Amino acid sequence: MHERRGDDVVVEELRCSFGRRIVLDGISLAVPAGSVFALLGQNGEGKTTLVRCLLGQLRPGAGRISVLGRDPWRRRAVLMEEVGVVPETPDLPPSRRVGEILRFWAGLYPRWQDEAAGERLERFGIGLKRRVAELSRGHKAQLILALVLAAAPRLLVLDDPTLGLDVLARRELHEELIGELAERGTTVFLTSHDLDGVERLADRVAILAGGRIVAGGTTEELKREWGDRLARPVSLEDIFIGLVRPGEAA
Amino acid sequence: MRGALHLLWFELSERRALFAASLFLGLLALTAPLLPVYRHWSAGDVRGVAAFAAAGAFLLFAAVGVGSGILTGALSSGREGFYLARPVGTLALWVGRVGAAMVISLLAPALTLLPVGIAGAWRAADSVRTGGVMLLLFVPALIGGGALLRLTARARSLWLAALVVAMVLAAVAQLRLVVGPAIRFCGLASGGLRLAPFLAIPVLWALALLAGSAVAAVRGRIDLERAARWGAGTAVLLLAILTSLLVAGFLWVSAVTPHDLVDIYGLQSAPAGPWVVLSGRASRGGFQPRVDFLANVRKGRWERLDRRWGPVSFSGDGRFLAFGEVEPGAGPRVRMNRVRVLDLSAEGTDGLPVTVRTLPMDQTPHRAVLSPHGTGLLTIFGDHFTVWDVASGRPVARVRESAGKSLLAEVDDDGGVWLVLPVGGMGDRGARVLEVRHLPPGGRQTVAAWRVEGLDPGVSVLYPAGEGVEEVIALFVRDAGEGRRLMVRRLRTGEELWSAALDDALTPGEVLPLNARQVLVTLRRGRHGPVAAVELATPGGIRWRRALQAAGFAMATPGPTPSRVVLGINRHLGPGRWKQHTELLDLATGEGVLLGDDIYPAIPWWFSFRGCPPRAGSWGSRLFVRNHRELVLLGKDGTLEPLPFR
Repeated sequence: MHERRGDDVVVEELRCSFGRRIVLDGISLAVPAGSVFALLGQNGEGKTTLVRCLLGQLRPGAGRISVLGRDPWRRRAVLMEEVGVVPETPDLPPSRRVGEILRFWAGLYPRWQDEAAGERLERFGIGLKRRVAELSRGHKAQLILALVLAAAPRLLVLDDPTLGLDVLARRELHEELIGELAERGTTVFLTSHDLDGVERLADRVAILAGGRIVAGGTTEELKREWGDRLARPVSLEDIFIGLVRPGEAA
Repeated sequence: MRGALHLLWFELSERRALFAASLFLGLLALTAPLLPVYRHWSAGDVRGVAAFAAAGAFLLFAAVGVGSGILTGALSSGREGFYLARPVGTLALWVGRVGAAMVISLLAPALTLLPVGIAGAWRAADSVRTGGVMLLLFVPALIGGGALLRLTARARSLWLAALVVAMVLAAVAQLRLVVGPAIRFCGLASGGLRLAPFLAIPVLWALALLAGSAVAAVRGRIDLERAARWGAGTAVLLLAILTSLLVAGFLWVSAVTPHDLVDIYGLQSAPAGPWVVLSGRASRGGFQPRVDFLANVRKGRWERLDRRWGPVSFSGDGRFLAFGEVEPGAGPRVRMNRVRVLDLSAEGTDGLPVTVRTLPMDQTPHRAVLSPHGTGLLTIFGDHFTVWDVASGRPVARVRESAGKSLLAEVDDDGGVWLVLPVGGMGDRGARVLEVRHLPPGGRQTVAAWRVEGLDPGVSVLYPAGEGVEEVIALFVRDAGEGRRLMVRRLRTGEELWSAALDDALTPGEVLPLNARQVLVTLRRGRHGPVAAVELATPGGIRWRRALQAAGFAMATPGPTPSRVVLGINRHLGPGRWKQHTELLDLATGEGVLLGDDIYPAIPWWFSFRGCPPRAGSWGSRLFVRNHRELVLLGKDGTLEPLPFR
């Protein structure tokens, strides 16, 4: 896949393996600036591995990655000034207080918006003196999102952010994201199992299976294509099942 | 760097409770004297030791437990992504963490010591403090090593085993090949780099292990297995390379030859024959180890006595040499536990003397004395002595006797022992009565042979005659109310051979026998005053007297011809400053010819227990040290030629 001007994320022929197990086997994709890109796949298909490669945390075995025009492995520190990350499992130091983490982040990001962070935390009902370990799973996800958005990132990478959240917490997170996107036009790279949520948020989708991208394009294109094939209106869930369990979709 | 400092502060603030705990521990140490078990101890000592022990334990805990956890804890527990998602370079993250680990490991123990320091109990724990300083030097290595071990264990990597094996091998190699020899042979070395081998080791470990942890962080990032592989691999490689370099470097600086000598301070010539043992400091690469060489001045050959430690003794005939040395492979301990006897007349294939016997010792002898023909060896300890049969290598007598106090100790070829001991427990300088005790061959205890009373308390230095080794004589200066007299007696019977009246205006100093019938006596102005003159005593009385410019002390040895004597004079110029020069005196007239400044004869400057002086005309009588560092030989034409060592 050739990089186009305006693509914030470009992945070409990416391969990654752990020992003998090949996790990503020639992945190529591109995420245009300002779009919301969702990477779907079953558990263990390599979504988090791909995210870690994009963030410069894991070195791929082969292939090329460009994030905001930079090689994430070589230029990770510079890149992270413009990339916000919400991990699959909240990894905040559990013994620290929210206020301490806020100050730590504030000192690292050049475009830090202290007021925005405070406002969001107040809205989420997260007190500055509470320790991370005392927060619920939903609050932890909201805390990270508040921190990430206060750094005003150009690219937001969300690795299954709604994992383990109840319906209300999931909806609050989505609303926060939609608001952010509407306001700033931030590019989003999202992995998720929450297909309903993805359908609401994403304008581009890729489905990962067997270490390869088995389907990709705009959400509308995919739905139209699969609707024609199955001769009925389809959802993302139908397409996903159709790709990973072909017999069930039919 | 801003990111590193930011992270450092973040990590420190997370562990601030540690500082409070360490301070509390220090306050607790102040109360240690209240424990009943310490009620008989000095309160200051107990506080000092308790505080240093607590600080040491805290340092270990802080470095290995907390410090290494700061370095790799997040990666091991899957929270490294939190830090890697921040705009801080991977190396800066590592630097910040190492900085935090170092601050905690050093500051926390310092806080433990603070209350004791304020209370003024520092001085009570000097030895513990020395250990603490050594521990401090290893803090970076403890942090790095702990981090890598934790990382590889968490990753369940085979590199854990490789790392442990490499650490053990490196430690063993450093202890056996560097630390041990450095303590045994170079501990007395001087110069700026004296401590270099010891300081290099913690630096080496810190470099290898911290570099390993840095590479683990930079190359591994979030991948635990990869971090373990790169980190441990780097540490193993660096440990191997740096240890090899250290060992090779140390072997090079310590493999000195006589050409590297910068100071010869110990010299003992064989009474006959071309052999000499010289001790001194050599210098290579700024490192100045203490070294001993056995040299053949006729052939210019030499051998490094690299384990020598303790007494040296030539047999009276100059054919055998005995010297103490440490057991090979004894680790870093300083312990002389064997005596080696060499046959100087038998050359091995390398042209050097062959070892005829190695005698194991239970403890360190104070002195070793070979019999006139080297068949017997006497080893003297503080409260007992042992007689050895060199041929069989077995002890033939072990006697409880305070032989360590003896002013003269001789062993006959048949194993008989003669000791000259002060009576009444007085030291050699205060002895007024001396008793000669004898151990007959095969005997189990000594018997009194004879005694002499009324000795001048200022003079009690005794020598074997050095000539006619069968006939050992003893020399005394006695003040029997009729003025001072030099007395020369047979050691075995006490029979007086001859005596001579000495100058009464000056105080007799050293008694320097040239042979059985000629004794040079130095005369001082007062008991501890400078040497003002020397006179030659013979059976016919004082033959001549020669005034000297005030000298600190003087020494004499038989000359290159029987008609001459070598007189070395040492003048004190001021604090720490001495000047030596040597004259050749005519034995008939006492007239002297200056041999040269900064030249002294090849015999030790100290007078006790020096063994037989070289005989007149022997190699030893023609051998001199020039400028403290060079051995020169007096030729027949009167010129001094440097010895060519090969």
